[in-house]
Amino acid sequence: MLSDKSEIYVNGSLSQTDGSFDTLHIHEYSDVPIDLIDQDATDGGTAGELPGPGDDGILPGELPEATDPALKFHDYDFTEVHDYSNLEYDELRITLGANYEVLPSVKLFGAVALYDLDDNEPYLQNATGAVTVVSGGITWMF
Amino acid sequence: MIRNPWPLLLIVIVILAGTPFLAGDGEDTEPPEHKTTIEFTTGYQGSSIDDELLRVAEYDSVDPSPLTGLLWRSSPYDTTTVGLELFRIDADDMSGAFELDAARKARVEATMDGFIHRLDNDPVANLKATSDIKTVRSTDLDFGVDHHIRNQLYNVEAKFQHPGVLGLSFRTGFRATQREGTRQVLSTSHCTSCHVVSQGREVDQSTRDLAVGAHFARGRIDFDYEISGRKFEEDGLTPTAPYEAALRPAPAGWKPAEDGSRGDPCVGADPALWEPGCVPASTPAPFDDRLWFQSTDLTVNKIPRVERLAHKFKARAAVGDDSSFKLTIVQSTTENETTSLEYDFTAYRASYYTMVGRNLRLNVYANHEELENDDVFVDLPAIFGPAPAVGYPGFPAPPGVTFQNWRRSDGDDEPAGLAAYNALVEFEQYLRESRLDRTEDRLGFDFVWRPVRRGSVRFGFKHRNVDRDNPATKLGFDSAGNLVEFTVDGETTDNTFKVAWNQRFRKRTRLNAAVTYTTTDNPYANVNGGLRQFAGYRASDGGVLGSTPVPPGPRGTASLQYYELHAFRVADLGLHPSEDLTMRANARWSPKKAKWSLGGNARFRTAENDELDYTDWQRDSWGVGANVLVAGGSKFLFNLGVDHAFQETDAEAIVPLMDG
Repeated sequence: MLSDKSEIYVNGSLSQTDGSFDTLHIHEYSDVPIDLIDQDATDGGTAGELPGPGDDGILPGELPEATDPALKFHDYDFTEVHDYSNLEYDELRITLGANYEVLPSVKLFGAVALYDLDDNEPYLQNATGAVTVVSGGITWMF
Repeated sequence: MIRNPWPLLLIVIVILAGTPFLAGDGEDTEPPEHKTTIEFTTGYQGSSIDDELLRVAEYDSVDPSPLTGLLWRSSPYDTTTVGLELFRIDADDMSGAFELDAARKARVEATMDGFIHRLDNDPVANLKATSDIKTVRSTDLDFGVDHHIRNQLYNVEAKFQHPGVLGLSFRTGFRATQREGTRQVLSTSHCTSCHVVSQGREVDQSTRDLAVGAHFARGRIDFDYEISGRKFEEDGLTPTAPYEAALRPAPAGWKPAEDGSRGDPCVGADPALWEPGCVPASTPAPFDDRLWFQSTDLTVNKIPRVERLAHKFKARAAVGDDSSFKLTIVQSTTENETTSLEYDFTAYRASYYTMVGRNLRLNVYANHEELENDDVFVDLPAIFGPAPAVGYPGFPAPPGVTFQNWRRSDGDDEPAGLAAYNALVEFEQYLRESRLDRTEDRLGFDFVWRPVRRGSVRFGFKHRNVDRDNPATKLGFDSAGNLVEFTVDGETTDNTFKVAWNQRFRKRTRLNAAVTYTTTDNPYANVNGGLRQFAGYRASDGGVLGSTPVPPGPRGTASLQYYELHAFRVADLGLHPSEDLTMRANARWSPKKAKWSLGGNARFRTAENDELDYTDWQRDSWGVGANVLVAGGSKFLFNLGVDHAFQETDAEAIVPLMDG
């Protein structure tokens, strides 16, 4: 409050949200046939390694051919699966506003709101975004 | 907009028509004293947007738009007030409220809220892989589309006092929710080729509730009755998605393709001259596929129309000065109008509340609930016709039998080697009894003891028993290799104990802590939901788990048949714990006459399920937090806090397998 006729207000929040999983520890049974996993380099994989997620060169929405070597991957070792669940958001939401009484029956108001979110661990979609909203107007009282 | 506004308008018209009569009754006929306030607001909102609005403005309307607001308050009679508030940013974001109080003999409250909800659109780019014969791939038909839903909520409640009967009142309420927009829908074409298709679907949903009730209170007794109806409709266009032809393994005389499908016919009539990799001529033809859903576009994500009618009766009687008895009866019938199937829900609840001495408050309660669904006779041939035997384009459907043919054969007119008839293998026609049918009983008590002025201790106990009418069954092989059906235990029982302590010290420190422990016998589970392991597909390869030999597959010797894989599913899966212990405590301290306070909290939970045989799990979690709160009167509030949560889970991971 600045005077009987005017006031300025501010409210806001700053939050950091961070979530992550540890590497999964798998207790494998000796009779689970992981040897079925295709490890042949001739089909696009890498010999001697368990293939994992990566850039397969296929754009979303594109229909791949059934024999596309990019389809030849699995992630049975689970060494990178836990990364899919990582989350890290930094978010600022702040509003600065003011009201002013021009006449006993007329008031002016205005506000600026800033919402800013950084998605530091995007998965599937990057949710980073920011928006600034400016508003103003007049109120008549009868 | 509300699709059917008549219930709302009816309520408003009745109320407005009755208001002068009610307001003018008796002493209220004095000359009206007009007190009216009107505020009109207009303005404009502009915005600047960078990148995605999905999270940063998940529920906010930020498009440039004029602003409009109206506030009207009036007291046309000295005991009657009317108020109206409206505020609109745009079609996605608006609110309104109306209230009328006519000498407390008629009261009306109505609200309206509209807001946008921005939704995810998973690009499904990660769904691409092959393994052996199995393939998963995806198509996104709506790549990059920003889906959102516009929500509009309407609520009107009115209450009338009967002018002639003291203590008798009537009420009515109307509530409507309208959701319009688009959202992502995923569908999967199954069997060998697992093709996930993503597309947007139109959403045009409405949920409408209308309720009428009466309340009577006289002396120590209260009665209340309410009848309510709900109608849910989805008028958005139901989408379709492609269901492809099932890939079949190569029969004799064919060379499988790299993706495991049939491939090409081998050249020449003499099997001895076939090229390497051709399936030998002696190999039996594989089963026909039994997929009705293939080689065409089919509707997906179909949402049924639902209607519900419910009755609720309550009674309360005061017993002495410090005791009361309550009884509640609820009965509802919910109908899926699309399928004409119903379920009935009936509940009885009784509770007794009393003070024992000056420091002990006791509440004892008992619940009995019944849930009953219509049985469904599934008759797939009557719906879809005989299961088609689909060949590849340009090739006729191969001869053969389905697994059901094989298992149901009586041996008279089927090829040799077929198994004896087994009614358990019946997937075309069967009676489905709902697993949700149940009787649930609860019995419990809470008592609060106040040994000192600023402190209390609460003890609680609840016993719950769920008895399912149609417990799950599971198929498996007995020691002789016969397919048999097992019925699991359909009764779940749990007991919950709770102790809580609440204390204040010298008005400056507040502490409360609670411990809750629940033990459950036979918790809910997905019976035979997981395949623990497979090694040695058949008895000849060593069997599975050493004691469940499986008969050799009659068709095709090299691939695992789906019924074998299903019979190997011996691992129950469950999210509900059999033991669950939760402890929490929080405290707040403020210096004398200070405007700030310091708070902290801690919680710990350990839960496990040791009744799942192969998939027992344990989960421990804990968290701590602290914050500083500064309150400088009504104009200033500052909160700074930090919170940390940690969870550790030890569980069996079962890799999903596709067995098409």
